[in-house]
Amino acid sequence: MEATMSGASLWVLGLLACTAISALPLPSSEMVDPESTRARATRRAELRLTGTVAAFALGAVATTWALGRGQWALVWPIAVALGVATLLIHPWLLVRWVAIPLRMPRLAYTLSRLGGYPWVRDPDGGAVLSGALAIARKAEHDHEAAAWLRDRLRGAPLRGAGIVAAGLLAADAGDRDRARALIASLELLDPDLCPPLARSLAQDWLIADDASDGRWSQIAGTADEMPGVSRTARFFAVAARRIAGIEARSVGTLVHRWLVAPRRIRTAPLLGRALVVRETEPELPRIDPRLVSVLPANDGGAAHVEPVSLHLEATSEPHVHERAVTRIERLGRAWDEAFAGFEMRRRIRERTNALEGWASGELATARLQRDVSFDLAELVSRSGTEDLATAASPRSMLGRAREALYDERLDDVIEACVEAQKRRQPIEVPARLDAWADILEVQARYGALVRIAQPDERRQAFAIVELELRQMAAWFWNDLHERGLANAVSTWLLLEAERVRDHESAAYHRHNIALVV
Amino acid sequence: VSTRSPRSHPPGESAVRRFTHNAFHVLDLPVDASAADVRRQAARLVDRLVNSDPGACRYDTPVGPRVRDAAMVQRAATQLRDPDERVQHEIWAAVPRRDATPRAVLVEGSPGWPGAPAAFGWRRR
Repeated sequence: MEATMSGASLWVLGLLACTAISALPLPSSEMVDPESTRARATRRAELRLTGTVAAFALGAVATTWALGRGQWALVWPIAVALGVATLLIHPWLLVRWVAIPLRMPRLAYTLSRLGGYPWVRDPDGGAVLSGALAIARKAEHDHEAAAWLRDRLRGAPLRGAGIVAAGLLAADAGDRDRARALIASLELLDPDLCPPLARSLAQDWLIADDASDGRWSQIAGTADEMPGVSRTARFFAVAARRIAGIEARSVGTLVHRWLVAPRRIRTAPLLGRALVVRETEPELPRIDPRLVSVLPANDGGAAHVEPVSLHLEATSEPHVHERAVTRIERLGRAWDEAFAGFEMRRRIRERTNALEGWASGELATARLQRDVSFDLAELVSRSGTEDLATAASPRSMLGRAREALYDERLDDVIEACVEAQKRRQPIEVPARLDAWADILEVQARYGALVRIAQPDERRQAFAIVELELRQMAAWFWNDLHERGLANAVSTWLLLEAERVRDHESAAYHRHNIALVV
Repeated sequence: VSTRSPRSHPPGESAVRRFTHNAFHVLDLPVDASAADVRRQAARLVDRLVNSDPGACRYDTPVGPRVRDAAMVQRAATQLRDPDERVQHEIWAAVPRRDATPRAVLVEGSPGWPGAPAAFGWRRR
């Protein structure tokens, strides 16, 4: 009788706890808007907690009741039922340890749809991400399952986990550029829109991609002491610092991180490679023979032979990133000197007269200047030496190259804006992911443009981009109800508006990002 | 040789085309070749290419040998007939041709590690 009473009391207490958790108002004034993403995520977490408490309370009551009646045989079924209930409330346990290792994307998705940790902030995207993780473990890309998962993503709200899932699926299909753009865009989102595990997976993928291509310096810059960084990523960060020659005295940390990271057999080759890196003595810079073996320069030939020879070397160089600054700077100077002198102009004038063409010698020279500036623009763009062109005098050949490159990149920005605008047409079926990719494309092209733009040009370009992205943000907020993405766009616009000192635009976007997402 | 904008050709190609597609190189002619030389050489090359002469399709450029066809030869001859075009080609033909591709320069820095995705539990590339 006493046991039954205490069991009943426990049951009532459990029920009261569940009711209290469900009925309590949202805890923060930031969540006044019950439709906000943060409020919804909090509500989902509370309901999950309610379910857990209810299941355990019920289990405790049932166990007490069974023991009070001496029914020991009932304890095991109760324990099994409690276990099943726990798995249903927290399906990640099954997804993490069964569906993903067994490479079952549909099962991973279906179980994850039940909700719970770790996708509370993005249950739809998280379910797709679970499936994408299962696909990523398969020996071959599973086109059918990937298409099925992409369909699931299409109709769902787009949050952090969904963006990472789309990126992983794109990478799995071989589209690394799109994957990188999507996964890197996580930085633009409000942290509340992205489950921490999705963020960690995104960082892992970027590190793996960088390591595959040998971008060790980039990995070395990983903030590996921050929470949420995976153990493997921490190991990669130390290894990359040694390989890139940034930090040589870290053998103990390297070995320790390798030991605590999973998949030690697979990471052993990287450990070996990082261990053999020795601290090198600083040595005097060696003169690159390629820089002194310029074919023409010293034989006193025609004035245009030197710049043309340097032009040839620069354009046909197999690895343009090496010594690019020196090479392009020298090339620009050689052309400046050739165009400033009389010899080349005289030669062109004599030849145009001798050949009796329509164009004068000056026109032929102007055409040559234009062609050279286009080539220099291409070389600067290819080698990432925009700083060199930006610092050059506007009248020099590198300055003209900068103008040519600016025009080209401005065209690119406008083209991307037009594409984004098409997405908003009513005849288009709203595809959140594609619209987001369009915005990323606009931002990427604008980023390339500002590397070559003067301050006033940057302001002009921002006006074009702002006009388009402002409408995209409004469309995301009002029509697609993607508050998080709208907020991310507005935040980016605010930062850029402040950089170009567009105070009116900054005030507008500051107001927008103050709205609860 | 001339391009209308930096985007006339795929990225990284328009600059090097000034050397690989220079009309004097395509026709195997010196820059002081006369109009009659151009006409004769173009006709000879087209004839050899149409008859599938194996030696005719290869020509030397400052960046090593390249492959030509009859259309390229005719285009080069047309360009050299235009005095304004010819002046530009003469300037860009100032560097000598090579009969072998220049030796590739060794890559500096540490190479990538293809096993990186597998270290995170994902499929290798």
